Amino acid sequence: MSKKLKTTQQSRRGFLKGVGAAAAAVGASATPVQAVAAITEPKKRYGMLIDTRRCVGCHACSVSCRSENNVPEGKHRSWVEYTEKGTFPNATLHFLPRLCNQCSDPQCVSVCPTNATHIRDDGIITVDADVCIGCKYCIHACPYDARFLNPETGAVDKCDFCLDRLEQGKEPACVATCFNRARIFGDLNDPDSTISRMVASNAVSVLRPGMGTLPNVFYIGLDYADEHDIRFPRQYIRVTTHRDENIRR
Amino acid sequence: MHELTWGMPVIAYLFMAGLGAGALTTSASVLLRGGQSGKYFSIARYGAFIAPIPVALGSALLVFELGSFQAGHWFRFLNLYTVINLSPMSIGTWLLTIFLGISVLYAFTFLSKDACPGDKQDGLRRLAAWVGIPLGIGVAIYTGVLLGAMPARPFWNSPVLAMLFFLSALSTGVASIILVRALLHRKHASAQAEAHYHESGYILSATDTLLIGLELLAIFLFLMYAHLTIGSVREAATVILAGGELSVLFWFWVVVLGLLVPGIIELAILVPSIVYHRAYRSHRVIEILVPVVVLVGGFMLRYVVVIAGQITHPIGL
Amino acid sequence: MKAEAVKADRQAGISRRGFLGLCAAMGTGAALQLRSFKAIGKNNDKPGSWSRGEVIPSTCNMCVNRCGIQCHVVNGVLEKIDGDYHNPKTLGGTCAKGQAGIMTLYDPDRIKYPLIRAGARGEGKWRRASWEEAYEYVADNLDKIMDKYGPEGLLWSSSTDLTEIFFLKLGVFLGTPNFARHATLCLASRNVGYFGTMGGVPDSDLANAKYIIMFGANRLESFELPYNRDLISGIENGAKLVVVDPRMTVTAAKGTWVPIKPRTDMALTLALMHVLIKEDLYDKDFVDKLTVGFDALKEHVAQYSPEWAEKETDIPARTIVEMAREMAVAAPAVVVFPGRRSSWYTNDTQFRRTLPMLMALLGAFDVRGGNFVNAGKVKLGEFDWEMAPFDVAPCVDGFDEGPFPLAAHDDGGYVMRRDAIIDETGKYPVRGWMIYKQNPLAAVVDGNRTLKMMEKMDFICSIDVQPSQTAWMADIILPETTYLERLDPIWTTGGKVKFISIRQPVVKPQGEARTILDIIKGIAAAMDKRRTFDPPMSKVFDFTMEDYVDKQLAPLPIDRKTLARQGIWMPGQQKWKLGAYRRGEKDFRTPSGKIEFVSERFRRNGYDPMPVYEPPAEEAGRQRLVTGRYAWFTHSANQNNRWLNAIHPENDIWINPDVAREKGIKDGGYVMVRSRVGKVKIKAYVTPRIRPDTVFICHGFGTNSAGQTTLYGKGGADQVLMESKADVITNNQALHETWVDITKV
Ligand SMILES: Nc1nc2c(c(=O)[nH]1)N[C@H]1C(S)=C(S)[C@@H](COP(=O)(O)OP(=O)(O)OC[C@H]3O[C@@H](n4cnc5c(=O)[nH]c(N)nc54)[C@H](O)[C@@H]3O)O[C@H]1N2
Ligand SMILES: Nc1nc2c(c(=O)[nH]1)N[C@H]1C(S)=C(S)[C@@H](COP(=O)(O)OP(=O)(O)OC[C@H]3O[C@@H](n4cnc5c(=O)[nH]c(N)nc54)[C@H](O)[C@@H]3O)O[C@H]1N2
Ligand code: SF4
Ligand code: SF4
Ligand code: SF4
Ligand code: SF4
Ligand code: SF4
Ligand SMILES: [Mo]
Repeated sequence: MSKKLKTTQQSRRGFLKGVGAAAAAVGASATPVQAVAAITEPKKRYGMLIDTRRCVGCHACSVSCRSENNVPEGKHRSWVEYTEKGTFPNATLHFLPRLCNQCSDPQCVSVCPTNATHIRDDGIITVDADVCIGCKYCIHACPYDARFLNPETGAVDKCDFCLDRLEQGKEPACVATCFNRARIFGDLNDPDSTISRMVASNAVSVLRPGMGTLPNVFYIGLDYADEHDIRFPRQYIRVTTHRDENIRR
Repeated sequence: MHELTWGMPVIAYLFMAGLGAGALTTSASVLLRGGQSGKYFSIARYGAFIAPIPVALGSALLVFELGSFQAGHWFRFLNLYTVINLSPMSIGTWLLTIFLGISVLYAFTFLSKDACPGDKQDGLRRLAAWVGIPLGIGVAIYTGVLLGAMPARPFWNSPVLAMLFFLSALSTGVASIILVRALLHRKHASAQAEAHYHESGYILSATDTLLIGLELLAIFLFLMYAHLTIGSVREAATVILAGGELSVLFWFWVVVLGLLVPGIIELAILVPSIVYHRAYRSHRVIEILVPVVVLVGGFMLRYVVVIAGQITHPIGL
Repeated sequence: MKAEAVKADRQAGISRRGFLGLCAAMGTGAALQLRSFKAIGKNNDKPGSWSRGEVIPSTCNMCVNRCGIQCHVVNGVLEKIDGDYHNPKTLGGTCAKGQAGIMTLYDPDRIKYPLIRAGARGEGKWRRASWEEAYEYVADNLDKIMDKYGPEGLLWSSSTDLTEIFFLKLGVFLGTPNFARHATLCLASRNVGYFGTMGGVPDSDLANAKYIIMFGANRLESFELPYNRDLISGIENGAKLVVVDPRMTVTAAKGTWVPIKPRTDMALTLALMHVLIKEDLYDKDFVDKLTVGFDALKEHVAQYSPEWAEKETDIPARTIVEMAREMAVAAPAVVVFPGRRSSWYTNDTQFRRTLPMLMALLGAFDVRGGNFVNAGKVKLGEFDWEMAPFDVAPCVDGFDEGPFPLAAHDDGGYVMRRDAIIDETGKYPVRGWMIYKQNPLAAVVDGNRTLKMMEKMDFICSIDVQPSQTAWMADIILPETTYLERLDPIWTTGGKVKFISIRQPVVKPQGEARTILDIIKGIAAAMDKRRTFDPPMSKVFDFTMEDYVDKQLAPLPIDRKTLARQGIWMPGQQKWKLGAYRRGEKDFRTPSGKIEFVSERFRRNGYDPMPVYEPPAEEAGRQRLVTGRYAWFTHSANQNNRWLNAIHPENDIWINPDVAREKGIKDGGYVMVRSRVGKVKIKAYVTPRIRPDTVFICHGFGTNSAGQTTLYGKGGADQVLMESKADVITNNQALHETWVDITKV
């Protein structure tokens, strides 16, 4: 709920900013065309909404991502976690597809010494593979384990919302591939986009809000287990991901 | 569990950069403290020669470990110098680079066989020392800040860590001077020179003991801080507590071997001088052994911290 | 191979990108950073100049669903497979396997040349042969066997696919009666059960249902399009999903899991009918108009009370009563899901019969949200085969002459046929085995017994794309092109929407792989050299796939070229309308024209006219082994695909925590699983998602083929453990009739 408020506030603020900028531009005797452009094309903020109720943990997204982005074997831009809880016969099973959260306040960006990792105007965090020195600092700074070193490029790699496809007007690969339409992609700053409407009309949550990263990947029906739950002795919990054989947390 | 993306080279680098920074800071401060009398000139000289070497070596190691370097882009690391931003690594890079320059310059002023207080290079030497102290402190602290800056790594994300690394850097710096001095030491012809040797040894050992004490305090604070918070930091700290994956490494190698053992030995030797004002005297074996364990402990501290930070992560949604 | 091509392309792309990046940087001269030109020159922010090249629509073949796909080909290299948005079944999605088609195409383990065995069978020593040599080799062996034993000395086995027809025709024209097809491994018993009761297997309107009950069907992992997506939508629209399964599948996780004791489903369906009738909750109007034998059914199910069923099924009587009542409230918008794989038990046909009966009591047929019969497929042109089938010998096992009167005789019965061949109890010896697109060594119960049958064979030929377990044991492997390298016959499908789709080559074949039609032509020509056929065999197959497709398309207002461009074609008029049966405009294809609670046909053939429950055998201290699949594997076909294998490198056996504790088994530790016919070492997966009396193994691992380098040595083979059991009415193999002992190793 609080998230929802935040979103609308932000977009309103974004809009006001746009108007302000336009006004300033007019004041500085810019051509009216520019002013119109500033109003009608407010800054985009791309985001994703994953409806875990529709997700069946089928991994189509992970494989599609691998294929689309040439992700080397053993590395992952996109992965799915299975969370199993309870005792027979009252067990539950939930799925949590993961990717970079394209945070609005990303710590990966703050620590990058070369600015290879940076925020684009549309909110997407990208790594410039030709600038990145592979110091791996950002890998540690990301609270979501979303980054990895790509041994082929020597640069750090991660989900970039499939920039290549976006620029050609296509949905990200994982979104297009999902049979069950569990993933919705769009501009969070556009109040009429499907994602904005869905975010506004559902109880959504983000991963680790306490980290202050302001993720732009939202979830419906999130059931996430962590270390703490696993240690909690009264309940059986297992989280399995196929991301790394060692990851069982 | 997170992949261990920072391995030995980074650990070695953090240790060596700290050591070099500590050596320069110690050297420069004793030089300046000795004033025109040049009381501790020889100590300063050892420190000056030591300082740039580990820092240069460590930095080289770091470059070798860069993903870009390993993928065959040999010079991409120069991109570090195209940007100045608020990343601790960016700041650290510039600090380190200036540090290297200054420390080489500083060492250069000692190079001449008959370098002595008040010689031709004296002005330059003092200038370098004045600049070197804050630089050394900066580099020493930065190694801790580098790790401490990330909430995503709860074990590292403690303000005490920078302090601990700073103290450890100074302590290993001092230890390195003691060690090198002892290794190169030959019996002096004159009793006076011999006495001077021991007298100046006193200040090193005293400093070292003080630093060790402060380090223990910092570790106590670190644990206290972890214990008193809830959530990620506290969970993370359990890896070095009893039953944790790194508890033996930490308690035996870092605390007992690296801090308590040398601390107690040095104290045992120092106490007579402090309390009974006896002339300070140490054995060569001890002068070698103590700094060696201090260095080993300092290295293990970096090792445990770097690994612990990577095998722990935030908990909670 | 792909990676290199991709890299080269990326590099080309980068420089172009670089130029744009530079322009951008100059435009925003106020950039505060001191970036080197080199850095700016390769700014990743402008990747738009990288285009994906050509986009070719086609039809996936990684499993049997045939989803529409769009293949992005750059410089002759397939870079990406996307779903086809225009395809009404998939609406642009694919599953993980569909995505990984690229890896099946470029799999380093693929067979690219004909291989003739050079060592002992299964030793893995192969000699590369030319196609000419391969054809002669096959023809020689077929000829020899036909000389000695007649054409009936050949076993001809294949699994359903668009291209299967050519392979089958060769067998038919050579004159063998002995086929062994997919249905007898999979769904024969479901088909016969449904046909016997209502004349066909209905579709399910999952998206609009209010209540959905599935018996073991694992729609959210074992994909059947568009059912899986419709099911998700149905749940979102408020349907109650009840999944009856001894283990909690993904499907069960999305609904209410009813962990039934295995092999007792019929007790549950009978008890549900009992409650519906006793509490007067059934749809009288529907029953009156559209069924026969209700009174007999009423009397029959009176004995099957919920209390009785509780003891059989382990489901509380209260739950059963609630289920029946909830269904009745939701009726007629109830889907009683027919399921697909029914190769479970020896009594499967009779169990499947109870499903349309339950559906009929609820009146849940021919209505929105219930089951329905689709409007049929698009009518394609018929291809005229020049050679007419002629009289052939009876089947080796006499399958066509008596024991399974209701089964589809052309499909054969794998288990019975295998017994007849191994034990020489058949009418004659069978010594040659032609296998197309099937992996019987993995797919048939009791793998060791299949090996025994192989020992009987003088000649085994496998036509496959990879060194499958079966191919590894063959005398010759003929490499077919994958679905991404060939034109296949047109596919037509029904459901709510009917349409046709094309599968066409998107890249050149790897190595010397050839299409099945070319392979059949080669064998036919070589046979002509040895025997006389009338007309000559090569004349029968003297056409191209293009000709075949053109014939199929002849009656339709679309030509091959246009279809190749758009991938699918839909007739403007879609006839999916409900109510024809209810209005009496259409009859069921049963003898009575109605849904038959009592089947005279069954009675006539010596079967119970109404399903009679018999309790399963119990083996205390042991577990019943059940099998199935994960969403990213197809049977045994792509566990060796590197991208898919990476998701699940090794299969494991699901064990209930209580059982594990009792036996001292640790999660992730290895166990030895023993049955009467085999033993397998496999990793334990201790989970509360399975009953204590049941264990589960995902099918397709434990390969004997060292040629499958990614898979070899990983996991355990379930079929090796399974006893040779089959359904009594269809001889459909029964995969869940085996009890196993599990011990820690
Ligand atoms: N234990 C156990 N046994 C089972 C099942 C189970 O769940 N567990 N499931 C049963 C069911 S439902 C079924 S339908 C059957 C399926 O059994 P099969 O029809 O044998 O299916 P697969 O095991 O997938 O083997 C298909 C073979 O065809 C090859 N192939 C794939 N594409 C092509 C192609 O384009 N051309 C050629 N020439 N070959 C190709 C593959 O490499 C593979 O070797 O298995 C049944 N058997
Ligand atoms: N991803 C994927 N999708 C596929 C296929 C594939 O290979 N991979 N194959 C396709 C084919 S050919 C087929 S036939 C279908 C098969 O699809 P389904 O018909 O759904 O069959 P299975 O997936 O084998 O699932 C069988 C389920 O039955 C349960 N079961 C076992 N014993 C009993 C019992 O006594 N009672 C009940 N109620 N349940 C029981 C098992 O636990 C298992 O979950 O999938 C199709 N779709
Ligand atoms: S493709 Fe969709 S349904 Fe499958 S795992 Fe990914 S998000 Fe879930
Ligand atoms: S998820 Fe991690 S990598 Fe992605 S933007 Fe946030 S901090 Fe950066
Ligand atoms: S690895 Fe690359 S992107 Fe990450 S912090 Fe270092 S230079 Fe920046
Ligand atoms: S948006 Fe693209 S890069 Fe990101 S997870 Fe999805 S497919 Fe991968
Ligand atoms: S379900 Fe998957 S593998 Fe099967 S046809 Fe569709 S995309 Fe291909
Ligand atoms: Mo099947």
